[in-house]
Amino acid sequence: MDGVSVLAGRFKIFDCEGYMGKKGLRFRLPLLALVIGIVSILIAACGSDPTATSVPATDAPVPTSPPQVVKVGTTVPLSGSLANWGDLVNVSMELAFERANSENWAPGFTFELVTEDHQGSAPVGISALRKLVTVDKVPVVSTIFTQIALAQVPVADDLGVVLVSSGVQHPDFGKLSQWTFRNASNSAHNADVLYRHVTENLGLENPRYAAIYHGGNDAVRILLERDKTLLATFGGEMVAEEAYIPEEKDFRSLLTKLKSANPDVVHLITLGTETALMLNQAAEIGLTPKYFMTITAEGAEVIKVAGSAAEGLIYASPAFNPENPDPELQDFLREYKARIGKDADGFAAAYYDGAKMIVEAVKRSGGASSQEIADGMRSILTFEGIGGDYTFDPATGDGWQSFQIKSVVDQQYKTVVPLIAPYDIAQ
Amino acid sequence: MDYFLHLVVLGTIYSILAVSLNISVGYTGLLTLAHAAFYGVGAYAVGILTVEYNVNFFFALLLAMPAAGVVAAMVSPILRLKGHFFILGTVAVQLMLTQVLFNWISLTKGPFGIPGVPSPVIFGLKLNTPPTFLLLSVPVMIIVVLLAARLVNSPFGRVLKTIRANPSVAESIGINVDLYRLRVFVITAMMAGVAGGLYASYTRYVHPSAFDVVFSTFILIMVILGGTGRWMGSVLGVVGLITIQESVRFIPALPANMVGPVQIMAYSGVLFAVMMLRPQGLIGAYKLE
Amino acid sequence: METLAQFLVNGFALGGVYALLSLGFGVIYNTVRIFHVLHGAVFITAGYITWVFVEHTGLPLYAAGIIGVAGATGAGMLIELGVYRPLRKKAAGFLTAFLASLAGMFFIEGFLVAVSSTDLKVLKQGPLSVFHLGDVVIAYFHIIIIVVVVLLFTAVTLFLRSTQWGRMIRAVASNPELALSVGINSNQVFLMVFALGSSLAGIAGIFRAYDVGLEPVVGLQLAIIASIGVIIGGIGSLPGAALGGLTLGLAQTLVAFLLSGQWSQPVAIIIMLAFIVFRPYGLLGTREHKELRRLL
Repeated sequence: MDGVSVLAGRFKIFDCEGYMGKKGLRFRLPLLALVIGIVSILIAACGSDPTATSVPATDAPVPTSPPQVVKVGTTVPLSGSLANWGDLVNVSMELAFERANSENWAPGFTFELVTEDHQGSAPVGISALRKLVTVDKVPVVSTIFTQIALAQVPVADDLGVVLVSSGVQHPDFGKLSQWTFRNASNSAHNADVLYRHVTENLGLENPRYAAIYHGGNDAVRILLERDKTLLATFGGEMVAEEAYIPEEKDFRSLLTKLKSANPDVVHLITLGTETALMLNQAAEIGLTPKYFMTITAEGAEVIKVAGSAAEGLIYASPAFNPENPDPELQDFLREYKARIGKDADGFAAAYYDGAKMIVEAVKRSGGASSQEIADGMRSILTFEGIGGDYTFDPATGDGWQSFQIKSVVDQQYKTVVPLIAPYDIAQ
Repeated sequence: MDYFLHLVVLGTIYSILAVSLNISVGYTGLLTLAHAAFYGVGAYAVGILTVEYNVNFFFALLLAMPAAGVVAAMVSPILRLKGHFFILGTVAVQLMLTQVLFNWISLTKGPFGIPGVPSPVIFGLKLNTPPTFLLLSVPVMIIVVLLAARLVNSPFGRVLKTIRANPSVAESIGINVDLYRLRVFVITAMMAGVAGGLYASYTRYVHPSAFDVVFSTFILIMVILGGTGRWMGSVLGVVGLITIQESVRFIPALPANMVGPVQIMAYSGVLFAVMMLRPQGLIGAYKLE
Repeated sequence: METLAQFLVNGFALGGVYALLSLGFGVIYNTVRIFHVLHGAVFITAGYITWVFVEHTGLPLYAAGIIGVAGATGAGMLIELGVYRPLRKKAAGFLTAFLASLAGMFFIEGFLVAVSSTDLKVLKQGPLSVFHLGDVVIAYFHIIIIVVVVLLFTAVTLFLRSTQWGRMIRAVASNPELALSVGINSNQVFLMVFALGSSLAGIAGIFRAYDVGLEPVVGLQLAIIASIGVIIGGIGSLPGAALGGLTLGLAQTLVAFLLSGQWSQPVAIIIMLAFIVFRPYGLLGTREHKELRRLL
């Protein structure tokens, strides 16, 4: 929206004020007229927006030259405490599209990323999705975080837009609509492989777990419940569990409580920078279990803040192997590091692969409408990506990534078990 | 166009919130930062009743009002406080209700939220798009605004203005100030509950993060911006704030990761400017205390 | 038992920072009668300035810290000159000042996110160094915090008791009109009060940034904590403000010990409500304080 139209909108508001403000007229005016007046002000304010109206129509199917531009939307957090995830998604997908365009993966089509900030909030996420679909006319949108993705599903359903996520953990995401697809890691599998690693590879029988978890996140709750199921099924005990709220930064009290339960394994089921603070504070109060585990140690500069306290931290990551000499993977890793300044992890690879799948779907169905992309996606049953292999259920559109175990060794992230299977028990 | 209508739908829901909050802030002098909490109670009432108990949407919407009203009555002891203490008390209520939504998992599903809230159906027409939803939200908004306008222009409303101007004088002429404050608090909470019910059935998903103290502040800014003590002002405040928010989204060359922070800076900057230059808001009836 | 002792140690470390913050808030509130939400911005400014100097110029921590506190002091005085003084000139009410302050706080939060992202800014790497006292673990840094808090508290009390400026501040606090009539320039006094309160907040901010790090959102959160500290300590009483902050730190730690970490924030608010309802004059305030008569 340019400044002039904003001003135009404002002046109309002031006009309206002068008129409505007159005594006597104020409450006698038919309210309907008033509402219509406001609506027309809004139309004046937003309708004159050049970006909103001058979007070129992309509907016309022109598969020959010049190549048809496929706009792919993302709704991600770019501000707020989860902003690091937004960069991860966007850079990963951008890299995939740049490669798709230069190597002509889908002949006749080029791909372009359009992004909107959802600020980690569900109402904003809905607005962002609507804006992408109706203003930017994107046929497919990639999203992240369950609470936002679930709120977006009905909207995607109504608008008939493909909603892809390479990060959402909720078990129902794929089933909720014919338009939802997923290639993601699975929270329950994450808990599985950590338990398997501790018991089978490290030989710790009947481990005594203690968990400290983010009280306001669904993926975290899924992991916690899965830990308990595993301990009950295969042996072991949850000796202490403590919830925290994300505003809290002083975890010494909670860690002291965990310490007094004397656990073998402390599971830090956290999402952000808390992990690093917890490791520091645990070292300070002398909580020294055999192992610390966490969801992911790579997104939030754990090593930078925790330093030596991060040494030995174990975590599960989607099974992508940065040592693999595959040139596509190595290019991705190099470019990703160059743009963000951090090493790419399995989640980044999953979003790269998610973008690649969109390209593949367009290629298979030879068109870029939402319907054609959805049909193309449904025809993909297995997919080899740089982040590992994915298996899909064509009935729901759900696909899962395989896992590996990593650890912080000598202040570096190192793979310790390249491929590890989850348990085959119900979630 | 669809996106614009989506903003209009949000505008109607926010207008209900702002107009009702204005009765408390502008007419009675109760500056509360807990309005989003009652909005949340309404949204959860509709979400839980329609999803878990298959209650008809319109019946659930009717029940959302007493639900929010009862919660407001439960926390009404904070009405004994005045000035800064009252604001802090309402912040307390807001933060605690958010915690309840997050932690009473058996009722609210906590951080999982409640997906799949059904769209309302009128005469076989499913209101699941912005233009169709307007058929519901506009009439509801008109009813609430009409009620609010009636309320503040009735003898009841004039008593409220007396209380705002000088509680001791009101007391001395035999007005039960505490009782009036309680009534206003409960009535405005019920209106917020209606807005919450609409929101739940429009987005079809409720999650505690949508009803936090930041959103409470947001509603308050709408009221203050438009002007206290004029219900029209609140509607203008809603239009103004949505325009500010959305204009930021359309600034060319603004990197996407700057949109959120710039939106915050834009509306807080506007509020700051209004407070420094024109504390009664755009068309406000009186200056804040 | 050791566990309880450990909690007390943790609580004093947390409470020390809160006490400084509340003391600063109290110095300002008791004199100027403004609900200074921007106190949180001052707090965070000190931490960010220090972080920028440590990270980008390689200045030693103490030198960067001095710049940080100076920055906070300057920020506090600027807020008085640019926000509250113009509002006072227009005879704006306390709600206007509160909302202007709240808006300013949000603006600065948005600004910090825009220029520096939301990453946690910590002034050190790795855990604090500690020593053992029986089974209880104590960090040297936390001892420093507590010693500095005690010293600063004593210094502020002496300053207010026995210097000319201190007597002027107390005069304006207890009766602005009378102070004016004996020739005290209240604007100068207010500026002094903001400098004093803001430097205390700045020191607290640097402690916090070193101990657990800073994010833009903690400003508002800690401004609320500071005000609650003043209320439970007793409006009008500076020892009360410090004690209130300390009590909050201990209470949050103990609640985490007895119940769960999820209640450590709500408990601050529950305690505040309990005080407001049952003992509105706080721990050390007096029942007769005239500010209370206006608020209850």
